[in-house]
Amino acid sequence: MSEQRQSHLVFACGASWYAVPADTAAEVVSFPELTRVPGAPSHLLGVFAHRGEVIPVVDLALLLGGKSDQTQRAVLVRLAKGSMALTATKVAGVSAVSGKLDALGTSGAHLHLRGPARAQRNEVAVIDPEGLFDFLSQGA
Amino acid sequence: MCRSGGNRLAFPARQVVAVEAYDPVLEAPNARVAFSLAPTPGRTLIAESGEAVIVDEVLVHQEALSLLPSPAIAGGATAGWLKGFISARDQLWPVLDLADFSRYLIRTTPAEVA
Repeated sequence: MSEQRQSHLVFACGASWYAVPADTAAEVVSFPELTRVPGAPSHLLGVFAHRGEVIPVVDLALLLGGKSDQTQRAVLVRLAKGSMALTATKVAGVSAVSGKLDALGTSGAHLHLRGPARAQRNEVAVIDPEGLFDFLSQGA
Repeated sequence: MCRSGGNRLAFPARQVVAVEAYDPVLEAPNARVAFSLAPTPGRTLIAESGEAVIVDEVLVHQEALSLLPSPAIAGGATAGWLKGFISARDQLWPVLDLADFSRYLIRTTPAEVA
């Protein structure tokens, strides 16, 4: 895959750093008490109402096989097909990301993470937001 | 509107033909299972088609509320029985199809708690 430099919002969830294209990162939100969705997988923490829209909150650490950090902060990603909030324990801000954008896994959610890439001084996994959204919408 | 293990649920009133006291003979599935909680006795909601779901508490909301669409990610996780959300009492409540949710619970309830 090609090298690329593009503006991304860089944030951490647990010990890992992630980046989403800046044009899809609408805002960083502190979410209130969530409404749990019955039967949903554990990484779908619940939903909350935000400006008239029901937003699902996805715990990235749980989704990727780690341990939840119990944060109440998230990066709200807006796409043409819908929105999702990805939990964030730290937000580094908007930064250029450089590096390769090969898929970091061969299946599951890892298929929608790309790298190795760097932003500021951190190694980051670049999230393909459209791919991750489609993966989660299929009942993952 | 109902509560199950501290969680909120709602069903369209027209789908609920009866609310009955807990009766172990009925063997209805318990909504707590959908939240990975152990079932406890509660009230039984019964659909016209005969399917039933046990919840902890039933609250009747008289006013008609508009249905907020379910986000694709939540809908994908629930195989069609999540119809959307209503906003009531300053909180969101997931609105479920009673018969479909009952069938889902029967499929997913572990044999040892059925």
